[in-house]
Amino acid sequence: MSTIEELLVSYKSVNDQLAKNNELNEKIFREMMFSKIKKSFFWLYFMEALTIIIIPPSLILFGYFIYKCSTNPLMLTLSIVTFLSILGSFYFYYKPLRFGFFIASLINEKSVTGSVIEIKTYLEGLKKARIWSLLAMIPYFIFGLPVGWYVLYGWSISGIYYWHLKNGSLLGFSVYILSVYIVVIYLVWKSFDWLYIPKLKKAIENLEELG
Amino acid sequence: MRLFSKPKTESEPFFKQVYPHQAIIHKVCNLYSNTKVDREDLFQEILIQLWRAFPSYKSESKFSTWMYRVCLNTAISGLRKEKRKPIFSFLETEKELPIPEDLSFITENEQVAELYKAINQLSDIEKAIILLYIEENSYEEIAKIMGITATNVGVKISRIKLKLETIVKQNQEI
Repeated sequence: MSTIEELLVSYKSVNDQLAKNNELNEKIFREMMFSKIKKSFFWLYFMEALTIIIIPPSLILFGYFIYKCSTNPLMLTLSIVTFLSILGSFYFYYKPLRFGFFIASLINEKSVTGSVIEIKTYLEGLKKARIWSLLAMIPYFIFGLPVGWYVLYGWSISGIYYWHLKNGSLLGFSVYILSVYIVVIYLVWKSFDWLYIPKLKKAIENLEELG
Repeated sequence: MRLFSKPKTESEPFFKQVYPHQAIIHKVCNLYSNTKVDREDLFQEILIQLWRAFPSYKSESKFSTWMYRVCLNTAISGLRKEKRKPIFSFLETEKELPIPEDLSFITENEQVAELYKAINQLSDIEKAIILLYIEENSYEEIAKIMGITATNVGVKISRIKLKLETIVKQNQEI
């Protein structure tokens, strides 16, 4: 029967052997750190770029909506609430994507690895962001779309909204509004499954394969 | 946004320092994970934390000491997070975990296998201390890594050895 000290010495040699067996060669270690997972981030960067392109014109457009509604106090209030809710939606929806990483990757190639390293945090953040973005959109659904329709109607850009208001029944119009809401909610919810989460999971899988 | 807020880790110095010491990561992973998938997850997580912490490494202390500290902190804090998750906790069992298949060569030495099982039953902190002890770190180094005094390290090591002895004896009697 060995003493505990002797056992610990034997355990150490087994542990050393085990660590040696698990050792990764230089190439795999390097790849694991950097290169292979970069590819999985293309769509993330693409979406970040898209966001950067979309947000400024959206803000300008809503500024213009507010200006158009400025003579009617009720509509002005609703427009401001809408404006803030849209900003809130953007904040909660896009915050986890962190524009900073996109810009940083353009400035300095090496900083891409900084974002790669954070994939798991990204993934967790995105899962929360999915719920937050929908919550932030509630005021948008309540105020935003009706204000949008009002402005469009006021501009006489008739289209389907105009047709519904003039010719459709109130029930038909309500069903239409609800269906629009459902589609928007569905698209926001699914966008995470389509765009972000699979990309991140793929990145993690790549890492695991390399491991 | 954290575009300019953090010092960046340069890849080459990081690689040159960490790669030769990768055994430390593997040892910590083997100690705190019971399946291959968990070990791979933890390996990744540790690499991430090392990358993040690398700019803060100061050459005043030994690199291996710094690495042990980051690796053990990551493993222990990761386990704490896991334990906090209440969902499906009723599916978890408290019973002793078997030696994973890919570590089955441990069982070739029956007594080492018993010790392996006994170490598995230690608390996270105790596991860390015993790993540092068998890796021949000095009491001062262990103290620095664990954030306790060197005297305390000595006391803890004696207690852990006693505990291991008791567990091994109990297991053999069963």
